[in-house]
Amino acid sequence: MAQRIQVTRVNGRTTPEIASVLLTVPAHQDYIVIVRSAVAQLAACFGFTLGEIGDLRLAVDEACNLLVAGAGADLAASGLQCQAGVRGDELRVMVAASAAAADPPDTDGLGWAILNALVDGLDWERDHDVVRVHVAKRRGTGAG
Amino acid sequence: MNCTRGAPRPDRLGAYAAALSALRRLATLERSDPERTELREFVIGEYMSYARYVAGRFRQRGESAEDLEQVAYVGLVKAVDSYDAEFHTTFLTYATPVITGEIKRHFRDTTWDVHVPRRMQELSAALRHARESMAHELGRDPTVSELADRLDASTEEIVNAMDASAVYNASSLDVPVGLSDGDGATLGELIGADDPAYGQVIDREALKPVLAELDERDKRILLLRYFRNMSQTEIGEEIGVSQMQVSRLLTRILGRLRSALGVGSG
Repeated sequence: MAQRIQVTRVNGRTTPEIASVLLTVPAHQDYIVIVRSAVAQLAACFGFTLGEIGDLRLAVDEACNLLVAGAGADLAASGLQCQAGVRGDELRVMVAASAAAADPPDTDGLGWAILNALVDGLDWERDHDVVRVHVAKRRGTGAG
Repeated sequence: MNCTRGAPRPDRLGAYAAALSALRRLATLERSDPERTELREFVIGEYMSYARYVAGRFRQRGESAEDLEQVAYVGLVKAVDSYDAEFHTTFLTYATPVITGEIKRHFRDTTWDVHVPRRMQELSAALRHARESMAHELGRDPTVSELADRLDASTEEIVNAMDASAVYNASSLDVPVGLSDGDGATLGELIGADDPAYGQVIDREALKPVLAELDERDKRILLLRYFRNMSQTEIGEEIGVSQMQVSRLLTRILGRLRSALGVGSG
């Protein structure tokens, strides 16, 4: 499956105010690393610390895993979408996949609480046959 | 006690005597002598239990017992091939350091579970140092671009090196051995993960500072266990350590969480 990667960013040392990354990869575990790395690179460009990026990567990794948990070979083609953007001090990531591939999170569980504590915003929604997870991480909050 | 893994029993020493004479004979034979192969196999076979015994002393360091034994056998073969009765006193005093040397080399070479290019390994190590010293100078965690400047690397390289260090398996020789509470059978009870009210009790704000003190691998272990509901064995496969070690790590991590959150042990 073709991957569409589109990076909107002005090159150079001056950090643009707003940048966004859009990518679609197969809805399969093996491709999560692409999403995770892309988000980490974006955060690195925007002055996030290693600790913050580490937490963000963990959260994105888990969010993506959640979305492809139930995906077999047939659903992999349906794709895992990622949209990441920076606005001011906050980096927002939205990952989405077919509801058939996703495993709805147990938001009362300890796992969700831990994931929530690693980032500054965490939410999920089901919209017809699509499940989306939103993750937000602020820069310079001193975590990590 | 019918245990082949303990220290060699006295009657075993009698068998070693036969192996030792075979070993002496082996040293006198030409490399091409057909008898050599047979003798060599016999000698190696006789000392295999000793190699396992030596390997056993390195258990609890996160390596699987089978892997350690294989490495010990390699050391044994080397020792048999290089033993010279004229120079070395007894075979065991000669073989023991050869075998332990092989095991130590194994730990040194394979603590990187995934093959990471040398440059990445070095950058990764430099990154850890730079991060510490810069955190000290700046009074905060340095950003990736600050680290890139300091290390004369690109931000891309820094992020990749982070990836590289995330797969670094810290289960090397510096892991404490033999924690008494390491069986982990009561982990579920410790934290009460099955209690649906738990998520409400420990709210995110309380967890935050506690999690901030854990390193990335520890956080990952917690997520694998409680977010993905993986078993200890599955977690071990995911991060490249043994189930035993996952158990010990979880016990330690949960112990920290518990005391930091003021949850009573019970």
